[in-house]
Amino acid sequence: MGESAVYAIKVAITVAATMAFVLAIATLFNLVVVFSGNTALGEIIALISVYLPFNAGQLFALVSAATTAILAFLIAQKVYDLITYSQKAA
Amino acid sequence: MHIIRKPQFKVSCYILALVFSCLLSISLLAPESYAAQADYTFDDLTNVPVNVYTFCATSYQYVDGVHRYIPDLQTTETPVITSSVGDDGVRRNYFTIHPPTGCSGPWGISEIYPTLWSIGSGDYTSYMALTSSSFFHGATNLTSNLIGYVNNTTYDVMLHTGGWSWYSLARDNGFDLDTRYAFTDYIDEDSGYLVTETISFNFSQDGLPDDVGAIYGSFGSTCKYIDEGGIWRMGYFGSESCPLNLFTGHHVSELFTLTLGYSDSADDFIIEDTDDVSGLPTLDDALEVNTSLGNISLSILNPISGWLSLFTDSQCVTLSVLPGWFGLGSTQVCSPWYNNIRPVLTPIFNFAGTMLIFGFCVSWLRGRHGFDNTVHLESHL
Repeated sequence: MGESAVYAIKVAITVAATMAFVLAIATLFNLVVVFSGNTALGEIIALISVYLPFNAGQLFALVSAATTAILAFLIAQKVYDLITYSQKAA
Repeated sequence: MHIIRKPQFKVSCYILALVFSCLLSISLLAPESYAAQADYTFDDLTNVPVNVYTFCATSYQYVDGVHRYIPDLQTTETPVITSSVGDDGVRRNYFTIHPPTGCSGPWGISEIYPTLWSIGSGDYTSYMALTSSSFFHGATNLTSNLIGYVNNTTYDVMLHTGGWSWYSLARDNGFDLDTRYAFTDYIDEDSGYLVTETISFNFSQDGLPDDVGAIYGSFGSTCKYIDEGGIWRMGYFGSESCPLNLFTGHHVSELFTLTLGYSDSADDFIIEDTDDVSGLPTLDDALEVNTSLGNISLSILNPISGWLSLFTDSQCVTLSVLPGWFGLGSTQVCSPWYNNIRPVLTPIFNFAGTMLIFGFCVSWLRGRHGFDNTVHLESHL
């Protein structure tokens, strides 16, 4: 019983730390995007979009969704490995 | 160290994790219900076509004593309406409006066009749209309630967005403007940006003309104009006289004029001509809705989504920074491709991209691109 509690706390702390880490990275990226959205970089990307023969917004939204799904899969994989390794170690 | 497990169990765990993630994201993104007008129930507007024209205000200028935002990145969105019945038994219709791609500053809705159908004798079902010009700041998406209900004698419409709303009631078969209307704004005193806006009014008429094909309203031309540089400007945070036009099919009439005044105080944004606003949404109601709608999204899990969102679907973009390096003013650059090329190539590229990603995922799951160096499904199949 005690080992289960310690195991649960370990998992909780690990997941919480990982989420904070990912959130920090994403926040930093998004901050850069916010500050670059209305500047030269944002205009360059907008210019590229205009010169592409397809709706770049739609296509990259699809890519964004796919990468989000893959990231979710990878995170799920890691969480699964974390739990199973911890169980085996316990 | 290689841990060997039954692949079926592992795959099941992955699928369950993905399903759980999807359900969690859906629950986080679901709009909050707005129960302030529980006296009405409304039709299912799932199939109502709605066009929303949005723009981004990349900067503003102080012209003639008025702060004028410069709309940019103007795009058209056709939101999908979802309809549901809440716990209070009231059916509400929602749609989400996104800011223009690449917009990180204030943005707004220039026009919203739902459609009015089949006005005639006997039973009719119709929906009304009101359009407006408004700004938002800081919100990534706006989830709105579009609520409409019509029978032989009553016509109710509510178009509501978090942080902004049009609210109208038309009773007794018609559209004659009642004297009651209210306009409430709230300005963030720190940032100076518009946070919430609510407009409410009632009107009624003895009958509807048979040839009514559409009803919509908009702020008049005095609220926006084309300047010498060809840029569509909008005066909002200035003392302006903005006539609200309500169009009824072939008949166009100006019903009343709203006067918007700039102030740092939220209370000063209540129009003084308001006669009776009892029972109408208050500032607290608007603030409650504004705070109840969050910006939680799974996109925080994807660090590159912000970068990818900078790509736009627009045929033309207005550049201001890059031309400024060469001593030029704002310049509009349009796509060199014909307009009918994109609708053809876009689905092709989308399909190709989807197949590429799907193929990658399949090959990955079959073990050809192992990321963990432990277990590949192929070795167990």
